[in-house]
Amino acid sequence: MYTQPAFYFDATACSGCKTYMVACLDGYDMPASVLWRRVSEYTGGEWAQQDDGIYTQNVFAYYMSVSCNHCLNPVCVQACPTTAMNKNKHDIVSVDQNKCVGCRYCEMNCPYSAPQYNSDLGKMTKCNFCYERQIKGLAPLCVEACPLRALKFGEYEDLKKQYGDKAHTAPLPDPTIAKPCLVLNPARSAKPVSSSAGMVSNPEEI
Amino acid sequence: MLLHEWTLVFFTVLVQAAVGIVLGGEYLLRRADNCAERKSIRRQSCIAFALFAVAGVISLGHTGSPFNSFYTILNIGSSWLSREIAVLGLTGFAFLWLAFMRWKAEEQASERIAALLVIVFGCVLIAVMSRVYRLSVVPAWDSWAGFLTFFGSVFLLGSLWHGMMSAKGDEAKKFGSALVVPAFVGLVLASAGVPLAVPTTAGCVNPSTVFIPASCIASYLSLRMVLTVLGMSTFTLSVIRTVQGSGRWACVPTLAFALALAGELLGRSMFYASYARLGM
Repeated sequence: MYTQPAFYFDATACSGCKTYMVACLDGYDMPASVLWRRVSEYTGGEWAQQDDGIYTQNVFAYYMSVSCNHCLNPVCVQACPTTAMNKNKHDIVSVDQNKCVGCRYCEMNCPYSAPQYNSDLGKMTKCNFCYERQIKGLAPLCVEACPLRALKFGEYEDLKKQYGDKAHTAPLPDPTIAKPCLVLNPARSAKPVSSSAGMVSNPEEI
Repeated sequence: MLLHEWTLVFFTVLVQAAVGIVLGGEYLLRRADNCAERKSIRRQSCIAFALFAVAGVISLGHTGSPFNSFYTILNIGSSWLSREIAVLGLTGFAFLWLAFMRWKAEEQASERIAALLVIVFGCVLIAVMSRVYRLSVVPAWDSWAGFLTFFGSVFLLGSLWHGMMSAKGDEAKKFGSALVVPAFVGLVLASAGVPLAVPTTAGCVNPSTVFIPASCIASYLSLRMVLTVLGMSTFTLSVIRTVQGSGRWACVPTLAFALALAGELLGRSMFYASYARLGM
């Protein structure tokens, strides 16, 4: 097991197929409304007429995949009134179902929408980094299911060394809020965090 | 749409009204000079306790697993919600003690201590309650709006409640004029909070977290202020009429309270509807 596990997402490789969203839902037998991993489509740009009358465009679109980032500063753990939300010895943020009251305050605090309310259980649920699979030496379901190998996992520091500590991009929030363990290879047309150049065009899917 | 998070809307407004009723009651007890007046005011503490208890039960409706509620005070060290629930419990015990003392016909010295505890714990509770929503990832809530409007509700609803309950007796003239000032304080606090509460979605790129368009919320907040100002104006007019001896409008303070309560419920509903989180 890793001591501070993290995901690596290569936006230049992602085709937005969302296969691993389905794999995660299926693997944990969750209702369709509970999404531990979500892929947003960030789009923007427009056509503009130049001085010579020719129209040119600056449209862009790229994908951003996010699950729980098992943050270094987990705001959900700090906010949870019951201590159900906790970081275990492997630094994986998980929910103790025996304590969770289902108040959704962790959801209000997390800028990544990682804690997801399961109305069937009346409790919060979230990505547990496929802890039980990792103990058996298997990769998380989402990593295994990604057909384009855009998603990898490993030790946070090792991933940063291997892929570089590149800046987060829109539609991700400011990483200083929760210090997420997420290493990115941004898309070529990626916009900076807090950019208003684009919008999430598939809100109904995330 | 307007009933979004209705359990939290009713919980917060009822708790603030209950604290306001006790605060207003202690304010009026200093002006009461006969047994009948004092008895009438003391009994309002029992009603306030009932409102507080109902609010507590309603708050459980917001949880998916209410039987785990006992765990909610385990994270006082870092969670504002945990602190709110702990102070809610302390305030509840103080309320219970006060209601027990005031249910008896004769006044006892210790009931003033109980009332003081309710007021102190109650004010701490309202402050902590507003802090629960001061989240850096929710731009619409990350201001003093919650603090101002929550305390505005305490003063406004507490004052107008006593205005309504004392409208029919001989105390209407004396108490009515005394209640105009705290009610006006409530109106000022609520009004100061409205401009800060106008929602912003800057940096909130996920439209699914926005429940109602910002322009729509601004319109409803305007309507909320119209209702509150109408309630306050109606109450003030009835007091002026009573003081001038032009006759008493016994039902008008009730109308004033109903208008103010409607305004508070609408405003609180919009507060929760303005939730939009940074990030995705």
